[in-house]
Amino acid sequence: MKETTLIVTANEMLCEDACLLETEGDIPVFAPGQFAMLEVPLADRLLRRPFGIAEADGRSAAFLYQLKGEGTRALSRLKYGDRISAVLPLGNGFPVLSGKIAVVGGGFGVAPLLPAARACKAAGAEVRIYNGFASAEREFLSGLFAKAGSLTVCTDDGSAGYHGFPTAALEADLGGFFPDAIFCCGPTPLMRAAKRLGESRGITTYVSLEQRMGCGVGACLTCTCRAGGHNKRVCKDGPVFLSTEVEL
Amino acid sequence: MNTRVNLCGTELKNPVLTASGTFGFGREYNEFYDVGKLGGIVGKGLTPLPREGNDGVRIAETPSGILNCVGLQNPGVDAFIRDELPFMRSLGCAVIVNAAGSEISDYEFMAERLSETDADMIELNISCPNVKSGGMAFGVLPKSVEQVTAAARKHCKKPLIVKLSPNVADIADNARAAEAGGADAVSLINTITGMAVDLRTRRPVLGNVTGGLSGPCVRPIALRMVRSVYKAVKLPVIGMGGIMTAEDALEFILCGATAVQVGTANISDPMAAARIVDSLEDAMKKYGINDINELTGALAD
Repeated sequence: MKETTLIVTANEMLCEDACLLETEGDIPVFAPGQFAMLEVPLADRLLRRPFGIAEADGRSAAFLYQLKGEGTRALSRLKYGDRISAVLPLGNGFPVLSGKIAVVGGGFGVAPLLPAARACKAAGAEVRIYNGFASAEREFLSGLFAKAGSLTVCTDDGSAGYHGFPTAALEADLGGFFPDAIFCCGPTPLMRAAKRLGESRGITTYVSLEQRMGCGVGACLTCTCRAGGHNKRVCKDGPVFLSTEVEL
Repeated sequence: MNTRVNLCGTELKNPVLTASGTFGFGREYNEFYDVGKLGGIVGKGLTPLPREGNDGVRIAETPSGILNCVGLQNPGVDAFIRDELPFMRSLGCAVIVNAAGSEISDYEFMAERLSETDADMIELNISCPNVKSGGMAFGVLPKSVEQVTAAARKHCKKPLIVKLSPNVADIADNARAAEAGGADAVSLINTITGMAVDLRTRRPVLGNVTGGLSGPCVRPIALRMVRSVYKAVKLPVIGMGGIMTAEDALEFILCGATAVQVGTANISDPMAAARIVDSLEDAMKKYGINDINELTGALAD
């Protein structure tokens, strides 16, 4: 991990509150599921923002982010050629497994699952992807996911694909596709559902947690989660945990 | 050009220390740069037994600042001495340990226990705003500042720094009380109690409702307090409060600090303390400072 300057090559709105920031720079090798802390281009904002690394090779990296507050709105104004400081790659990612892998994503949580699905597919896994969005207008990155495995898009309102939670779509498939592992990242209710499904069916389940972060490197102890009666650091001990390790 | 300073008998290669609670025990930042280049590091606040800290959201961002309510999560003094101190000691800079407690006897115990180690100095945390009992309770009234300092002093065989709270009537009175209790130095300021609220949910942002405010937004307050304390006591003063650059550090030294602590900047940028050290000589050159010691307290006010 290191602190480095990235140069913006594209900063594209995917839907009303989702943007994909594409950058170039000297990008260290990363494990799928690791994240980056990006500086916010506002002088009075001190905290970097944690984003999953959606795609990266040695020269480029892409980050999916949600327009949420002043900080991310300032990020969305970055243009081609602008410079931004990043700390990456951080935390522990998903394992790269062969066998049968179910990838379950929700909303902005799909970002770190893209490299995880790709890496498992490259390792010979049969990858099925269940990505959930609020509605058809809020769906993104499906073109890239479709190349990383067999994709089922799910929507909460039924406006596209499967009507319901992606965990429900996976559960409906279990008769024909019983995975060796589930990878999940998304809103807490979805991760709870994945934890419940995985643990009740005896499927090893990995969840990638999100928490308000300070330093992102494990020092400030602000992004904790409960694990076995103790606090663990989401940024350094996670963000990917075995579902059995953490309380959700 | 000289950047060396002597703090309570320990020579620091430069006056840049890290502030407790923002730097762990140095491990994480040592992956980014050689922490040994700093003047020293101050470890995360320790208590006699392990503490899990506060529940819920622990950090919020405010204009030019952050609020935190970690609540002294730490592995306890014994695990620290076993698992962390040897690493800190190996870094090649001064090692200051930060000790907190809930009762006078905790501070006595911590002073005694940490005096048996090879740490260079002990910083007494009587100003943590995020724990219910103790902590800041001792740091508010001058009388209790003197009492807890004197109690720790009796058991402490190392230089004793008392870290002062800004959430008091007159911080100079508390500095005098620490001096009367036998402190060897004072450090200031700890965070200023504040809060952030969410209009949408009508709830406080922080799980602990209130938290400690730090960052550049507190710097003018910290400078004023460092100046006031420098004039009130004969002890060396360690200044902190929103230091982001070498120039900020020099401002604190000008107001009377012998050394400074960098805190929130580490959270904002993992390279911050290293960058401050790296740019210190250039900043000194720019302002015609040949020996950093000549600047201490030299403000013409």
